[in-house]
Amino acid sequence: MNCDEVREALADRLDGLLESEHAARLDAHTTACEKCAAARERQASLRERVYAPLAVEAAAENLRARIVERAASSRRVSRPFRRLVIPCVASFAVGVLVTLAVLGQRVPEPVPAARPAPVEIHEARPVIPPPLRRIH
Amino acid sequence: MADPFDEVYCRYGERLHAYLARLTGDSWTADELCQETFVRYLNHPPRTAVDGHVGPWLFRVATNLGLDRLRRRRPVALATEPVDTEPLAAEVTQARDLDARIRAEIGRLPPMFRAAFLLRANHDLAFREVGRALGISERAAKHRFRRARDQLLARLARAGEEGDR
Repeated sequence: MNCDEVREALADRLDGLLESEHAARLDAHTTACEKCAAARERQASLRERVYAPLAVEAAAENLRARIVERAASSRRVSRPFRRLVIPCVASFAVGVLVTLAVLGQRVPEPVPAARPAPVEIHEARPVIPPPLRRIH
Repeated sequence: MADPFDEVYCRYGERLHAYLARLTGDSWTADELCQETFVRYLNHPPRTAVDGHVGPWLFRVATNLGLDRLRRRRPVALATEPVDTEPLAAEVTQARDLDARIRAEIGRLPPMFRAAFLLRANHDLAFREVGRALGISERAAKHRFRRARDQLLARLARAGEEGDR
């Protein structure tokens, strides 16, 4: 690898994006080349600063208590709801199936209606009378 | 006997909140989404946790909630031209307002790129875990992180150049 290739791949090396073989060649170059070693140091410092987690406000003090309370209340709501809804839906489904089965036995299969013969449409032609014969 | 939720909350509560605050740029929203994440965990815990840890699952749920919230905002196009970051690297130790610039530029990244960057750079997740959190492959996670990083450094470098003028 030459210096340009190394500088181009330095960021990927520091971020763990290079394959191990490529990374090993780059490491060998920066060990031997002072300028590239210095560039690597600068890039590492840059990352340390830019990648450092930015300070953010802490979570609300009562967040944990709010989570536990909300989880418990949603369970309280959902359990009776499930107890009621699931049997209702199941019995409705059974009823529908039974009705369909009964109807399927009683109703005879519809006989397909006979297809009407296709009507041919002819163009109207002028009627020409046969030639008159003479009777002697 | 210790409450198992205490252990999970102690381990991930602050991390998830900080991640959501950085992702959404808003501590109130982070409170709300962090709460929603843990309520889902309590009511519908994951059946299989990777390596016995629930972290990837929690980050995935939090990421989905955060991205859903951010989707309403206007997307930002990524520039693609390369920028020399060496001057930025040289000035990095002197810049007093660098944190504010970093914060602003991270906030300008498109949400999916921002999430990939934060999960890797701030929370030190492996790319495989970043991929899981975002619902994409490890390779796609690397790609998104790289683009986010390049974009962020390029914008910071440009802002530094403009500040020097």
